[in-house]
Amino acid sequence: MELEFFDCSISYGVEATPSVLRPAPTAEGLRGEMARAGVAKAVVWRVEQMTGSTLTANEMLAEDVRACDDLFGLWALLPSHTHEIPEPEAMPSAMKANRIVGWRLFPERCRFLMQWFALRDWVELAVARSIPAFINTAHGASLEQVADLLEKAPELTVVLTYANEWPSDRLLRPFVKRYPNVYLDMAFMITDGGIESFVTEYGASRLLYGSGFPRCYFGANMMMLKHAEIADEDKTAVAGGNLRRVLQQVKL
Amino acid sequence: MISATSELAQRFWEEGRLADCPILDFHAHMHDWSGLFLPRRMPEEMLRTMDACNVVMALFSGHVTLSVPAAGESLDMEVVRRFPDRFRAYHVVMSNHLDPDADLTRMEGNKDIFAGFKFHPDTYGVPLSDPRHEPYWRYADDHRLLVLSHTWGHSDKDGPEEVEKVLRQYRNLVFIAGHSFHDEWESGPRLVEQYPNLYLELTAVLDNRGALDMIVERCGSERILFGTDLPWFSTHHGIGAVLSAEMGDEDRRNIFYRNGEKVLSRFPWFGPIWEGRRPRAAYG
Repeated sequence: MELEFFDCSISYGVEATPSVLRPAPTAEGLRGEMARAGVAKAVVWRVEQMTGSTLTANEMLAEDVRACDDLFGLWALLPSHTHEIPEPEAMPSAMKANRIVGWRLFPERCRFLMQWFALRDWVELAVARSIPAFINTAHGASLEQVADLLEKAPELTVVLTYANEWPSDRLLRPFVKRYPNVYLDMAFMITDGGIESFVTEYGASRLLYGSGFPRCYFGANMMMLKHAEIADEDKTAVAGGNLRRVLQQVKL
Repeated sequence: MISATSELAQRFWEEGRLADCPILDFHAHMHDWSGLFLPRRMPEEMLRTMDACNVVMALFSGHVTLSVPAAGESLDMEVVRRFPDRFRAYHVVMSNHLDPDADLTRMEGNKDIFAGFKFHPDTYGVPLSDPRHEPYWRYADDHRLLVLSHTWGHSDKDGPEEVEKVLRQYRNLVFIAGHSFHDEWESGPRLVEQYPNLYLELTAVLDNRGALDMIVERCGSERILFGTDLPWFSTHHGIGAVLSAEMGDEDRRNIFYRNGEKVLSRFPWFGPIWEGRRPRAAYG
């Protein structure tokens, strides 16, 4: 069985102070690594969006992904109150023109509150247009804050990365149970038997293959999914089908 | 595909397990622990994973044994007795509840159960070189046993400086640096060059792309042992990471089983187990 891997969890770029052992400085280099591992497509963001200049890096990312048919970009979101990124009414067309399919939130480094009163217009737009918010707990967003947003907007599409390798099902399963559009990035979900146990309980539609590259290897989670004791169609869904479906629902 | 240039990776990718590339896992646990949901925490479930990956043997210390002083070693001993061809235990050195006379008597009477000791200095808050550990080090050294210790970079309990204090004094035991001094990656290769009885172990190393690559580049692949923290981390995840790292397939075979075979050959019980499982074809 051939699996087409569509990675939901990749970054690249050059940090002033590198935080990973082997960075992926350029989109071209990243694509070479994807080819070596057998990853067909990816949703990507640039590390400079978080650690450098958010506005400039949003533009750099767009320039990179516009030229690639295998990469899809995520823009860093900021509260609309400061008018630094396209206004909510202009955002969908700007995203469409630049091959941007969703948003990333970096509340700690970009110094904003990830709360309903600060992000309400964005969240309402996301729900109306099915735009996914990619949220990683390593980027200053706590699970409590994610839960707070979802309580206000239960239909919000969230791709959630819990950035801790420790088995996390007690924390994450309640999100999947309560909110219909929460998807779990597998990047750090590496518990033995974890895929099988989750799929038995919740089905395969809410798991997304994510590598966590360049902090992690592509092939580790690929191998884990390829040989998981679940049905072939479930592997296909997790490898890329689910993410493809999430992105097909985006209305720009 | 994982790695387009590796024949071993291609075959593992297709088959999931290889008869000519068995695996020895030097860092496992089992049973329940308060902080975790572990769907395959019981030995029978771990064997399901081990069979799926051709893991011949796992050396472990159970969570209950590590975290419930009143439980003692009995659960782990029972597992080895039930599955003598698949598991061996590390006797836990529970630093705040030591009873050297009883512990070493237990070791002496159960040489077919225990392959050595397990230290967890960061958890217990007692440094490796604490004088209270002395009887255990001496026993391990006298009997050429394995000692697996949690090691972490920059730790004053089990970081490189603490490990070196032990290695300077004890040259006969095999010291297995669990997690390979995580986050202080350059220390492992440095100490490996100085101490021939030190091995680096890969649990929690394999989710850091580049760490294993760097270790192999600096000190080769002959002093690295495979480990996963099973039932924490998926064995196939660990295999996929080793196959992804930059090294040759012969290096990967060293890590998966050849180095482990050398280390375990000191035990009389290992030969008969390994005889039926060791690769025979073109691979040694």
